[in-house]
Formats: sequence, C-alpha cells, structure tokens
Amino acid sequence: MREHAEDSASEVAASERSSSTPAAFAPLLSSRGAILTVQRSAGNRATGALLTRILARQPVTLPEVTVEGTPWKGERVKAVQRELRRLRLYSKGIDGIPGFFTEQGLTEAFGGNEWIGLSDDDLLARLQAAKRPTAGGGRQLRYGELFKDDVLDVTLGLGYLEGMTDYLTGLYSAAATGLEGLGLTSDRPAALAMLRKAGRPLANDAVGGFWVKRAAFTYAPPAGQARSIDVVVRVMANAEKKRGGDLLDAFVDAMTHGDVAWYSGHGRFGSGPDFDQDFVAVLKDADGKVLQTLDDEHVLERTLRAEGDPWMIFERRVKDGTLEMQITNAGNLWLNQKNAHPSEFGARLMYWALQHGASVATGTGGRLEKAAAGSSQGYRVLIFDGCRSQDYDRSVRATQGFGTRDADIIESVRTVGFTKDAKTQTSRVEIETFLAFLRDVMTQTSGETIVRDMNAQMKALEQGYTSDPYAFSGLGDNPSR
Amino acid sequence: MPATRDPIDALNDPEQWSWAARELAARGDPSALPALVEAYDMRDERSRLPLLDAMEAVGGIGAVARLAASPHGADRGLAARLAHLLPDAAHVPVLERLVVDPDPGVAAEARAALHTQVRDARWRATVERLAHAEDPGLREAALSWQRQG
Repeated sequence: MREHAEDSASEVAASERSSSTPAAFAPLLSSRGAILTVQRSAGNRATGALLTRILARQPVTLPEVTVEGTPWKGERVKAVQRELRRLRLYSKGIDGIPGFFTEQGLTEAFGGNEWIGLSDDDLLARLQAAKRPTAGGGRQLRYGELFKDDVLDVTLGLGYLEGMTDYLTGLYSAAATGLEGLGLTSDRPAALAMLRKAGRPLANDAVGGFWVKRAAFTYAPPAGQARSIDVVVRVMANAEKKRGGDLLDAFVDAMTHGDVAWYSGHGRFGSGPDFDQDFVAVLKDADGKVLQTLDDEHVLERTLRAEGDPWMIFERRVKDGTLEMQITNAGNLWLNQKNAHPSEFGARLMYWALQHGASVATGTGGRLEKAAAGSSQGYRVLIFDGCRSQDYDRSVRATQGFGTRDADIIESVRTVGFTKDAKTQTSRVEIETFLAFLRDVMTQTSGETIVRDMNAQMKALEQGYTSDPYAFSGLGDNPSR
Repeated sequence: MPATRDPIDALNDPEQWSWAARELAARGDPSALPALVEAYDMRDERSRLPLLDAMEAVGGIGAVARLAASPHGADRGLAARLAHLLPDAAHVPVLERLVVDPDPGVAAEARAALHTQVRDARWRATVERLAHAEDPGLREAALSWQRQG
C-alpha cells in the first residue's frame, strides 16, 4: 500500500516545504514534521547539529544548516523504508517520501530520536544490522516515543465518587498496595527528580502520591541501544472534596505532557472526567426559607417528579428562585460539548451545571489543544475507565494533539461496575485493571494483549456484567508485527 | 424480559433494573431492600428511579426504624442509607440516634441522611440539639446546617 499523499501533506505544510528564507526556519523547528522538513533539505548531520543546539538552548543560526547538511535523497529514504518494513515497523509504500509512518518507524527502530542525528550511512547500517522480530505480535504501542526520555510517566486520576468517600479512599489504598506489589516504592523526591530529568518539572507540593521504580525494566529497540527505564506512577484522589481543581489541572498536565493518563471514575454522562462533587440542590419556599437540601441527583429527580415533569419543574424552580443549585465545576474536564443522553434527567443536570461556569476543553482553542501545543510529548496513551467514556472519543480526537497519530485511547464501551463484595475485599477492580495495564506496558506487549488482559481482569472482579468493557481507539496506525 | 428470572439476581445487571424493580415492587417483600440498595450503589450512571420506587413500594420508609434498632451494623447502615434515599419526616428521630452510632460508617451516612431530610419543626429542633453535641464534627455539621437556613 502506498503511503497516502495526504499523509505526507498533513505533517509538513506546503508553505513550510517550499520555504527557503532564514526567518522561516525558526517556526519550523517547533514540530517534528518541521524537523523532517529541515532534514529533507539539509540532511541528517545538519539537523542533528541543529537539534543539539536547540536542546542545549543555544542560538541557532542558519549557516549551520545550509553549510553542514546534505539532502536526504529519495533513494536513501526508500532504502530506509525497506529496512523499516523488514523490521515490521512500516507497512506503507516504498515511495521515498519520509512521512509520518517513516518517522514513526524510525523512532520505534531506534527507541527515540537518536536517528535524527545519524548520517544516512550510519542510519541505514544500523537498520540493516537490526534483527527482524517474529510476526504475529499484534499492534504495538509506540514504545519508542513513550520511553525516549528513559522514564515511563503514568498518572492515575481517581474521579470523585458521589457519596462514596470510603470506596474512593479504598481505591487509593489499593493502588498503593498494588504498586508496592510491583516493586515500586512511595518516594516523592525521587519521582520529582526523575520527572525533572525527563523535562517534566513539577512543584514539590504537587497533588497526589508518587511511586517509583528505578530501572524497572529493559527496553531494547531493534536498532537502538538496550537501556533501563525508570517508572514513575502518580496517584490522585480527591477524597477530602477540597482539591478538585488541583486534580483537574494535574490530570490535564498528565494528558498533555505525560506518557500515560488514566482516569477511573464516573463518566459523567459522557461529558468528561470529574474530580469533585457535582452539586447540592437547595429547595426553598417562596420566601427563600430552606425546605430541604439534596445531594443525590436521583433523589432530586424523584422529589421534583412529585410536582410534574422533573426537568420542567427544575427549570421553573431555578427561575423563580425556589431551587438553588450549588455547583462545583472546578474538577470537571468537559470533553464532550454535546449531551449524548438528552433524555436523562441526570445528563441534563450535568450539562446544565457545566454550562454554568465550565468551558469545553476539547476542540480548536480549547484547554487541551493549548496545553498539548506547549508539550514536547509527541505521543500519549489515555485510558478512560468510566461509564460511557466512549462518548469522549469523538471530541478528544477532534482536538489538535489527540488525533490517532498523537494518542492511543482505551475507553469503556459500556458502563462499568464496582468490585464484587467491596466490603470484604481489599483489592479493587479498578486498581487491578490498572495494574494489569501497567504490567503489560512494562513488558511492552501489544495493544491487543493489553486490552484483552484489562478486560479479563475487570470481568473477574467486577460486579454484574459479562461483556468486554474496554476497546482501543487509534491503534490502527501503530506498527504491527 | 423473562418473568421466570430471579429479579434479585437481575439487579446485578443495570440493563434489567426497570423490570426487576417493577417485579420486586409488585411482590412487596422488604427482604429485597439490601439488594435494591446495593444495586443503587453500583457505578452505573443510568436513572435509579425504578430502584427508588421499588424501595418505597416494598416498605423502605417503614423499615428504617426497625433496621436502626438492630444490633448489627450492616442493618443500621442500611437504615441510614434508606433514610438518605427515601427522605421522610419519620426518619428524623431515628437518625438523631444513628448520627452517634459506634460504627463510623453508619454515623457518617446517618449525618448525610439527616442533612437531606425536610426541614420541618422537628428537624430544626433536632439539629438545634445536635449543635450542642459533644462530638465536634457532629456539632460543626449541625451548626453549618443551621447557617444554611
């Protein structure tokens, strides 16, 4: 199959490709597609020199590019593509055009960006010397991208569970126990140092707990040096109801700057993750005297139903002041602008609340796009473990930085349940599923295996369901063995 | 939906809540209350109105006082949860006892339930007494409810 023309065009804009003026180079260097552009016109060595200076925050001058480089010729690219295909890292056409899939294959072959600084001869020689992996491994996560800074940085965000504080606290404890079972230790200073070294500095009082394991596993890319990878896992829960906004900020940071961001909690009727309590409803008489305070949306719906259609009564009471809604949107990550479940009172209430003070984080100009634009992370893995989180997919995918080439997403395709016998069991199905995922990533298994293991773990401990809860989104353009 | 299937078992599947709850409501057997409350507390986000209706239909409001007198913490916890889900003026004196239950989980749920009861004269008198409770957490909660009006 030929690499589609739009694949190449989409990663290097026409204006960038044809640019030859010095001033045009500076913005080019801000993206990986731009680096390819420079490489194509100036050669590997020049690009490597340029990147070295950028990474060292030294001034970059154009003569270095134009003088040192030799263009990456089409025949050379074809040779590279053939080798990548042999290594099962490239399945597109041998067209001599270094598009997204060529770059992806190179990054996975070398386990990072080392290839950018190699001469054409060295690059090809390294690929030719690499051992071909056996077939049948399935679609791979882009481990070269994830591990290129030698740190696997994972954030587990536990959403607020309305009225279930004990369960939420139990989740956090189960996560601590489970991570320690995998050999990680609770060590905030070490975690912050590792993240700082990887270019992700966090404040000393960053919300959540941190677990680390140095040299947790070995990563051996086919054409790159085998090396040890450190693991940092951050676990966050808002059991005290006070830090919803902090958790939201941290989770957005994890989604845009981290390797893996995992949300477990209510899907909030397909609207997005939620790290704080939803609302308190205060029913009043015509004189403003409080008659009743309700903190459960279903009880509120039933109470209003006694007067007629619950939503019509809700709107009328809000309008005449006999229903005061105390909303807390600080912890809501509003992903899906449109209410996917408009017939449900709870969904209407959720969207009504979001429309009173929250902003949609997805789409053009949204919070996620802005945060991703400021990140050096070229690829991320997101997991949404909550009821109806598949509703998020379309909106997230429509956001710059979260297309299928930028992110792989595992999402729940049905509602998910709690742990069976939660009062007697110390393990929690959400955490066991997370740990199954983490084990698989640390052993670099395929995407198919990861989801299969997550589904098996969830169904083993979950209450009430039999069908598979999770599916991958975006895996189709990853390398396949 | 097959009528032969046990509606209690069916509560484990939220897809079947509607018919299972209707079936249990028709039977009127209060022994279904623990299963109804357990289903209510599943993580699923769909409407729980059928479950609430069934809880009331099988005697959930009347069961609160009886369960609250049980020596078993699980029963008292169920009483507090039912009072939270099915607010009723009759719950207030029962909850006044449960808010100081030796089981902290029961006491916490009872406090949450008392907060959501209709604020009639008896509720206000109860909260006034609790505003002088020895337990500082309970005292502060009662004072905050009074401040709300």
